Amino acid sequence: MTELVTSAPTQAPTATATEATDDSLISLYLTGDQAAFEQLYGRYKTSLYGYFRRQLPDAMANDAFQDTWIRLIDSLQKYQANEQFSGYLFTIAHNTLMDYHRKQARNPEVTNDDAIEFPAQKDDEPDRVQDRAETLRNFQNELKKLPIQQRSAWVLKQETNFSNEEIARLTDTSAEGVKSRLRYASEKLKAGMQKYVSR
Amino acid sequence: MSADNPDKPNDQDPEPLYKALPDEKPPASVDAAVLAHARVTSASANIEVNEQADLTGAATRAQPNWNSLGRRFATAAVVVLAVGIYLQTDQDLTTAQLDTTTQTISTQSHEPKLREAEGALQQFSDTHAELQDTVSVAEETTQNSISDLSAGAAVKAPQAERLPVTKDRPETKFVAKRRAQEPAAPQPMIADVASSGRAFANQRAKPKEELIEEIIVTAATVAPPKSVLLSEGGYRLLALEDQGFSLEHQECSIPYDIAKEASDFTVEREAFVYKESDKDVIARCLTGSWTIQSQDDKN
Repeated sequence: MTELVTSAPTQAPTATATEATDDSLISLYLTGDQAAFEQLYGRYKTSLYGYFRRQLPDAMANDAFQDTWIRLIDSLQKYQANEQFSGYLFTIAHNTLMDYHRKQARNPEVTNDDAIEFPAQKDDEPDRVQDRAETLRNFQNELKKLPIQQRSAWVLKQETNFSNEEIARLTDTSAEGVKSRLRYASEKLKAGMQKYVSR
Repeated sequence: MSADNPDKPNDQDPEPLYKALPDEKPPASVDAAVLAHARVTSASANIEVNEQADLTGAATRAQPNWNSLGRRFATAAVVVLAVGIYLQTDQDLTTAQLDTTTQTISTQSHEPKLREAEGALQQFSDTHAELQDTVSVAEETTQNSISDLSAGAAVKAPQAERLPVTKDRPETKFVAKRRAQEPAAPQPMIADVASSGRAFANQRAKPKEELIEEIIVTAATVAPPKSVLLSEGGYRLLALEDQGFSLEHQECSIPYDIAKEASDFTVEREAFVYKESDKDVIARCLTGSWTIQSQDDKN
């Protein structure tokens, strides 16, 4: 039986008591402390990159990721400290993603077939590695088949663990709408994966 | 474990599957680009803060005089921009070059960069002077050509004073043939040839594509209503066929941002767009370097 190795959840990090808060890092950065920005960047880059990488082709994901940070940096002066920074960042990310989807629709030659490498785990037999890689590849394909809004909400949930209300706010929809998008997405993914299992 | 197939794993649950996907990190080049942007933006913000401090007298003596530097920079930028616009309109400097130069100058405000900008400005000035010389020569050449043509017509005029053809003295075949071969008196192709002579005079030294672009820009200035026709989903540029140019129809859309900037367009379906400020847009479209995007797409 294939055993899926689950990695640590890639959730939007939250500041612990010993860490500087996002807001304090932003304040430091705005006074010229570059190291503060680097710390902030380190906190969010993996989840943000995952958000784009699971939804866009490789090159586009890189561009969208970079664009998001540039937009963020350029708008930090307007950032209000009473907002949640991760929400602010992912709102920009969501808008950027939608822009890139539109761009992709206009340039259909940009395909979404980038191969993701699935590294072997320790002590894995070759057959099991192959099985696992195939399962994950199938899952990636099923994920890409989801409608954009469902996929975006679902990936956002996985990457950030935001509440439905938060996702609703940053995607400019209702919490009920988000709930149903998440439900549909999960059901479609399950049904999609069922095809491979029953073969 | 699947009930249907005990050999297959129960791996349909999307959440664990998602978490099993390998974590991916952005390439180092992307990291570097983001951090570099943050550094540059932070530096610019600090300069603004210092400028404010200077204005209120709070800046220390140790700090550079950013206010003065800013004024110098602004002056340099304006001059570079003006020169750039001139070159873009009349000569070969492309919008991309101008944008790059302007952006370089506007984003890098430190003194060493200012010196670089001043160097670039000097280079522009030199080029500008050279181009002005070229233009003057070209204008003179055109004017001379027009004068020559007029003089030629005047010189040929006496030839027309042939003896009239009468019943007693009919026109010979030779005379009739020669008369048929005589060139017609020169007609100005466009009413305002003299004022647009610069573009035509430069024809000799230009490749075909640039020549076409320049002619259209010039002709659009002279006879604007026939230059741009708006059609559904984009702007269709019609060749100025009735101006004597045999150019094919070209089609392109003006990117949303440009269309938005040029909000003084008189845009109606099947309406003509011919404001003076559209010249630039026409030229850009005809270079064919713009991607297709209609305003509807953007919305």
